[in-house]
Amino acid sequence: MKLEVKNGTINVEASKSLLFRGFDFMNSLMICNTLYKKILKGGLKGNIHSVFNSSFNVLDQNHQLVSFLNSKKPMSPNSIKIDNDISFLSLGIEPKLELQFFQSFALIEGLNIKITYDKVNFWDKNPVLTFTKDSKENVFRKLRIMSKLLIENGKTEGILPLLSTLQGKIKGLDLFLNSKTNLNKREKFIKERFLKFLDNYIREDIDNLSLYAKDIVGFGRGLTPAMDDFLCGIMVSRIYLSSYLDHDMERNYKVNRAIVEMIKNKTTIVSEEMLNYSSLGETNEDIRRLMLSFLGEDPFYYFVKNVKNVVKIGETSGTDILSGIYIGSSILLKWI
Amino acid sequence: MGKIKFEIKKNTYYDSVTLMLISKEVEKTNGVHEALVGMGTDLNKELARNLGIISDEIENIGPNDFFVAVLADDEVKIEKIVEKVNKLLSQKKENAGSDYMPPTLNSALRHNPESNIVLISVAGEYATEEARRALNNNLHVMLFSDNVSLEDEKELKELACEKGLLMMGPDCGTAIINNVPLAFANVIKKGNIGIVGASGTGIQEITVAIDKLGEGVSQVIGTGGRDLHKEIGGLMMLQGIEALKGDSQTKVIVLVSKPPSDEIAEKVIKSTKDTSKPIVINFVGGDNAIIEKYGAYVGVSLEDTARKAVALLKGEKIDDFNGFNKSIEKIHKIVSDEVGKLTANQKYLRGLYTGGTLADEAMQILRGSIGEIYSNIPLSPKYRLKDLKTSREHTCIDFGEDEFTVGRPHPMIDPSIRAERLVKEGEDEEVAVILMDFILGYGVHKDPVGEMIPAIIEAKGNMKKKDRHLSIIASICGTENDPQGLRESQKRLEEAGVIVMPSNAQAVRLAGLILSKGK
Repeated sequence: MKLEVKNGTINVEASKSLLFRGFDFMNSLMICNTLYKKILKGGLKGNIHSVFNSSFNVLDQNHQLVSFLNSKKPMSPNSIKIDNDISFLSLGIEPKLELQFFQSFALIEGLNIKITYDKVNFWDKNPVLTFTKDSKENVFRKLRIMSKLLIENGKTEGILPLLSTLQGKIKGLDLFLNSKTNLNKREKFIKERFLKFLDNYIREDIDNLSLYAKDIVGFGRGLTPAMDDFLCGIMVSRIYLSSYLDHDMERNYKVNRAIVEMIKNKTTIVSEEMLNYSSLGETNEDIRRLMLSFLGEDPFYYFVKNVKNVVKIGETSGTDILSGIYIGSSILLKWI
Repeated sequence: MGKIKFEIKKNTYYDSVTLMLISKEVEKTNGVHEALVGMGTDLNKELARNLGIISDEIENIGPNDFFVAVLADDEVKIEKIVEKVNKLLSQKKENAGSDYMPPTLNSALRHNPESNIVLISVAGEYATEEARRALNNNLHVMLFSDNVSLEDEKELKELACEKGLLMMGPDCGTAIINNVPLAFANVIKKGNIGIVGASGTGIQEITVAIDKLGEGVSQVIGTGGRDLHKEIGGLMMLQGIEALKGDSQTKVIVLVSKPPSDEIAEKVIKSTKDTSKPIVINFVGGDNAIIEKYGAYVGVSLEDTARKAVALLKGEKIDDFNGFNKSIEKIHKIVSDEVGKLTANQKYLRGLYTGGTLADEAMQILRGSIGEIYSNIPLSPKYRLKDLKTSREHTCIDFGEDEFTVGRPHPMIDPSIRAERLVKEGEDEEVAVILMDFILGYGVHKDPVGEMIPAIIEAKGNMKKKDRHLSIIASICGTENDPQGLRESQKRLEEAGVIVMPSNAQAVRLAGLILSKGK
């Protein structure tokens, strides 16, 4: 008998490379209850749409995306989160592979990978609007902290430089933005449309909002273009702020509906779904926590932690979403 | 001014970090005047138009298609830019795979198809199935998991034997195959001594002693603790012996296990008869007559087993080693110094072990000198410790046993339970000597010594407040090349007032001398 181990050198890496967790399935930690209901109805299946390190998306037969997240990602609408932090990218999961949902597990055909969800916690994608409200004084203080953190920690390759065009309109902006910010060609290209959209948004001109939103959606590189992330932040903040300010919720949902009304085929499928969820105040757990700690009675340090978590999302996505939340909140709090 | 060049990938998605990387790399390419990387949304296409880098092909893509468009000098080769992008994308994938730990056996094999050995560590209920699958894929198996039934163990080992494979385990904690340490294992020099063992820390203590004597190991094959039980019949010990008999690098074979039944012991020893390679056997605390009957060498302690193997390898004289590395004068000095600090009613030993075989060896050696010892793994059922949380008289505890590891990691990984117990033992005014082992190497805590030092200082300090001395004697199962470093570990223990001996056997003998004199 010959004993052979590849690259038999003594080091941690060699030892690690021989270690693996040898189960043929992954356990889920959490599932979106809306998705679970759809699964229980039976027959749900789809094809792998896109694969990343910490998530992969499945496009089901109804053209809706179901996301599988590893444990490092925050729970989000229509998703299943598994209980370890493996990289999906290196698992052999590839676009177009078929995935079928059964009552207690999902199976990726061909790879024999089984993702169980029989012992799983349920997650509700609806916005949590039953929080204990913090004082306006504290909320304004948190808004100032948010603007400071945005400038200190935010990435400038996305939407952030465009905020300089809002100087004089949003109070806090003057405090932190350099008035001499030079926009590059791309930012100059979108600047006027961006300003038109925001003018209409501030005036809540529902009749024209769809047209102006359509003109800016899909701007930016990436799976969720920077402008879309910004719009998500604007819309989510509207739902939470409306509740905080006891505004007419139906009116505010109507404003958000107008924003997403004409986005079909204007951006990626992933982004389109995210925008639609955001219009209802449905968002991922990190953003939800941020909104609750912003407007609720949570301590400042916890709020700061949540802001920093959101900024960390993607390359510029977190900064872009936070920019939307900041601008959206400033508008609704009349900090304009 | 340049030409418009582009690359389109239909229905392809990259995460934003990758896209940013690509954008920056493309933009900084010499001769590139303008570049746009993104998805084919209407707005991005309009931007491309605005930047003067549009083409018919780009006009026709959709929002779910990825594109790179550049305006570049004539001499800039579009192929090079595309190649650069592709290289960046594949680099990203490779990077993602560098710390990749496949979640399934199939994906592990796809990731590294040339692998022929599998280390499995899963909950016991799934272990059999995974091991069976691996064997059916013609892979050697090291099964770290426990809680596998004897029936399943037998079935797996029979399957391995049919296929000429190794089925190390279940509950196999250590192995070194072709110089690669697996699970709990030390960094041992490559050499000519092959070991098959059913005792994890027993194997480690022997390999470390071999390394300290300047020699090394060829292969170290673990079998799992129950391999020599009657029900299993030593299937993997026999398989391991066959492997070592046929291995040209192995010149001396060492077998180590807790005592097997006579029938199995005889079967195992008989299997060594047809080789000219010398065999050293240590059935810790077992009957040595049967070993001598077949002409093998008896290891009287784990350290002695290593010494004999090395002597046989070098063609040197074979003697039992029951002494110390230090001169007898130095040992007497240590003993009298320690005894002089103890009070009259300090008379008991407390052995706090993370290694089961080391604890067992300690009790075997001390039985003759200090009397019976209470334990969770007693030499006689009469001395089983009823309340594991409370020691009585002489007590020796194996913290690696199931009752201490349910719902928590093994004490070699998480030393906290032993640290707490050490402080508690230091409150007992009748305790004279604490015996401890420290296991270094891979798989264990990254700093087992550092984790224990605060408890050592606290226990000694508490004793001092009562005008008493607490004698703490330790051995370190480790080599200089282990990640934690032997010398540094020893130095830190000595600075904390611990007497560090070169092996468990010597530490135990010293403890025995102190306790005997103390009486």
